[in-house]
Amino acid sequence: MTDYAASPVQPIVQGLLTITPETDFGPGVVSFFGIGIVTSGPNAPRYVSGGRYLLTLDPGLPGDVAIDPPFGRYLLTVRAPAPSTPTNILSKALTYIVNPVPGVGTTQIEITVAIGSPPVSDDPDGPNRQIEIIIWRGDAGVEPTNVNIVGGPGVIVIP
Amino acid sequence: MTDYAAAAVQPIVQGLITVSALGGVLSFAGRGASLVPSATGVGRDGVNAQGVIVLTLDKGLPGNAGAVEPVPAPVTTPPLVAPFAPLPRTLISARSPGAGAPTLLESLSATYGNFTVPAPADGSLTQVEIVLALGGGGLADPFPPNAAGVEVIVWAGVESP
Repeated sequence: MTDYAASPVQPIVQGLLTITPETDFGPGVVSFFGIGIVTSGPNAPRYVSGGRYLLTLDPGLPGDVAIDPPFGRYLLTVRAPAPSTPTNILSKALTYIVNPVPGVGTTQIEITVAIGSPPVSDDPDGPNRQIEIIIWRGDAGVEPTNVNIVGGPGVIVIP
Repeated sequence: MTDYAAAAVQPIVQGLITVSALGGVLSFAGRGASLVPSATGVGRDGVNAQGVIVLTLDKGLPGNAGAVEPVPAPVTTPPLVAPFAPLPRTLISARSPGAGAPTLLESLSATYGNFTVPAPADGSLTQVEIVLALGGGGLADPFPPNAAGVEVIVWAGVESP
């Protein structure tokens, strides 16, 4: 890393979400291809509702099996539904869901994408329903050693 | 790279795309890609006058020789189940049209293929298409009042373990 860089981007999650919307015959399906998200079993990616997808961080990651919300940084890029066709997704956001076990931090994330103004949660349209996702651990400004950081949006408890 | 990082972000393309006017001449200031001629102008998709920008990956790149894979390697039997173009990652950031002025480009997306060039024999994808549109859905260039260019970064992600 160069000496002028503030903090490197070292993703703990990097991958591609593929979404099959819900139909009259059943709920939608979201699948993940990449690294850092559980892809099978009870914690596999879950289609919550249109435009809402729940992902579980991979407990197999070395060191950082969870992330403290203030340190979380994400990037979402929606793929165009087809060549030369703009996506209908105008709003993209992510929530860090804190594990109920104290001190664990975030083990799950929920992605919400929406159309329109005001935004209404909905799946990307077209044949190519894909979203690229990157999550990395940023620098929250305060990171002294041996400090017990308790999960919660924007909360850092220093005893 | 730290031991908790899944994969580094190591861009193969980094640059700024600007345009001389709405529907005008595109320029790319950066590395790893170039704009090639089409029926509707250099860097265009050959169909639309504005709002679609086609970056052709630089063949001089080490390792990733100007293409992304349509499916991940290795080719197996039966074929590995994977989504289309699972590896490339693209970040698109619009620059404000002016100080204190919000961008009107609300729809920013990317897709991969061979849009204005012949597909290579190996089936690889050599172009990244950036699609920009206003909130209402109309394709629009990143020129005021919409925006003052877009920053683009493309890198190779990682395959599933």
